[in-house]
Amino acid sequence: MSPRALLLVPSLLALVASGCSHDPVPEAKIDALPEESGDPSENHRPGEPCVLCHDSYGGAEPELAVAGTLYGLDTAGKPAAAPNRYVVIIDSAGDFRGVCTNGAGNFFIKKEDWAEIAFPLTVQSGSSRMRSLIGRDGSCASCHHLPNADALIASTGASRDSAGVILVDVSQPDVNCGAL
Amino acid sequence: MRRTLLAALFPAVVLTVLACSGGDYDQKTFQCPPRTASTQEEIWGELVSPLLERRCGTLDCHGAPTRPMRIYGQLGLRHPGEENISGGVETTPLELADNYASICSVDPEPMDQAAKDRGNSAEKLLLVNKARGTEAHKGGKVVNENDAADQCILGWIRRATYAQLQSSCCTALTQLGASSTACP
Repeated sequence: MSPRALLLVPSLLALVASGCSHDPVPEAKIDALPEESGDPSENHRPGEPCVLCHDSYGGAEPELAVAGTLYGLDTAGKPAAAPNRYVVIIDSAGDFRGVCTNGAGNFFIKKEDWAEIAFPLTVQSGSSRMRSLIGRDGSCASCHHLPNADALIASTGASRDSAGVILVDVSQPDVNCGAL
Repeated sequence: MRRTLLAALFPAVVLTVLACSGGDYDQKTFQCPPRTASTQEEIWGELVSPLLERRCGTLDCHGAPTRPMRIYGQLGLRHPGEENISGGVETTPLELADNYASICSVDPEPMDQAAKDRGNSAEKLLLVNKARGTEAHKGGKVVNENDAADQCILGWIRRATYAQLQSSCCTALTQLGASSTACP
């Protein structure tokens, strides 16, 4: 092989490596996300599938195991962020984590804090318990969609492929998250 | 030159004609284990489909419209021909029928064989081996060999009695925090 041909090898390897790291399924979902408004923070992108970017493929830090957004209904009957709500996630090995929602209604558990998470999961917040299991996607919003054009119930976003946003009872403060 | 060109094109022309002719293929019919027990109780809708809906048919697995072996259900994906929401009314007869068709057509020839030999070859099925994790499965191992869920699926293929299926399927459903109208 000539020295000139040898020079091409690293370029070809880089090309192959970049091709292998492209997965069209998550890529299409990431591309479909709306534009970021403001700076990324713990409060950003409520109601969007967090783990889509916050995983080893998406590359956003921190890597997350489970994350989502809780809502309550406001006086007009529309979903509004539910801050300071305690969420308990239980895995199929019986291990669990509890976390409070922040001001945007977002909650998250870092991958480093639950490396051995065993799907399927069950979830509870206050008196609300998720009726189905979480099979393998740590993003609540992958299934709990915000209201969109496909919704059969416009206020919650419930449709054929979504139970709509995660609604919890916000009529009483949650003593587990700072309320006395 | 002209003769060489014709000789080179001839196989392509023959292949094109064959491809476009359609052929006289017979439509094959595949068998699948029945939906009802020998005593006529509905085992599919009352026992087997509820387990598959619960364990396999979540919206992030086989309840996703882009995945093979699509499973509809009350708490998962709803049928496009009906106006129901995920989490709404109970699984409908149309959804149960499509779930049956979906499971039967995942692996049609081996399923046909298993239906004919009353489940003696059931352990060759993708349905069984993907669930056990002995065949590559994105969702990993979801049953253990001979546990209640495994017995529920195998029991349906092997024509177990309604009482036997009720025992295994209901135990599996209870372990998953669910139930069925057929469960005591």
